Amino acid sequence: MATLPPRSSNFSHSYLVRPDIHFTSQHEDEAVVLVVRKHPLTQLSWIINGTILLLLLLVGNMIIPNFFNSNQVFAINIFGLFFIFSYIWINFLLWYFTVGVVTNERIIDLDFYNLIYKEFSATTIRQVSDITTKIGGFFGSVFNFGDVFVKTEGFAQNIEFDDIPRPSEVVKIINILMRDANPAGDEG
Amino acid sequence: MQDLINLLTSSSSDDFIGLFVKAFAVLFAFLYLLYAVVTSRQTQIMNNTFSTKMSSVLAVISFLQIIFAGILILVALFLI
Repeated sequence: MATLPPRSSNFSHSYLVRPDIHFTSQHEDEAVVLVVRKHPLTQLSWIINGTILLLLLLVGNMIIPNFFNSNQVFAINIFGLFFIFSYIWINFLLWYFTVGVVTNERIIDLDFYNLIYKEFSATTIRQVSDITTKIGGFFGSVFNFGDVFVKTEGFAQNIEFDDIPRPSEVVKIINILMRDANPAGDEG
Repeated sequence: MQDLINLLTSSSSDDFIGLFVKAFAVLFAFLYLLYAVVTSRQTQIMNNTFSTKMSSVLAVISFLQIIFAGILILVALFLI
């Protein structure tokens, strides 16, 4: 009989088992079993962009002293650094708070599309009718990340975890929770 | 308004660049303050929605940006 894995986390904190976290609307006796974020490799675009911007600022420092006085050069550098930091910080926050949460009662998808727009979707484990996992592409296959689709009965909310690490293990954990929630074996 | 036009049209190249940099810096600094306030507030909301051990660190870093924005405004107004 399969049991839930022990508390663990990976280096990038994108796959956390039994983490010490709390979320809004969490029930008193509801325990968080799994928290997943997008795989860090999928975040490479803004990391590379930030690095390129920093390099551009460094290269710019070789050119702009010819056109501006020292105070202006200092100000341009300060402004450039803050701009790059804010770009990186926003993207980090969006990655950090866009999570999929699996508890012993519910599956929750928390999406922050930008700083001022969020989406909170949840369904109970009992309502889950089907789970699909999709691993595709070179990087997905090599680094073992992909999508997990949780379908629910009727018109209830469908949940989607995109680009998460170890999708097969996530499905396995949800299956264990479904079996525990429906001991008669009618989880669909 | 006429003074501004006169300044723009009669100033030397250095003055024009200085004015341009200052105007850009002041505008950017106030926009950064706006961004910092929104980010700080949204980080609080995000932390309330999903709180971890890192929540306080994230909130402090986001709040620090408001102070940085204040520094930027001072730099823009008085240093350039």
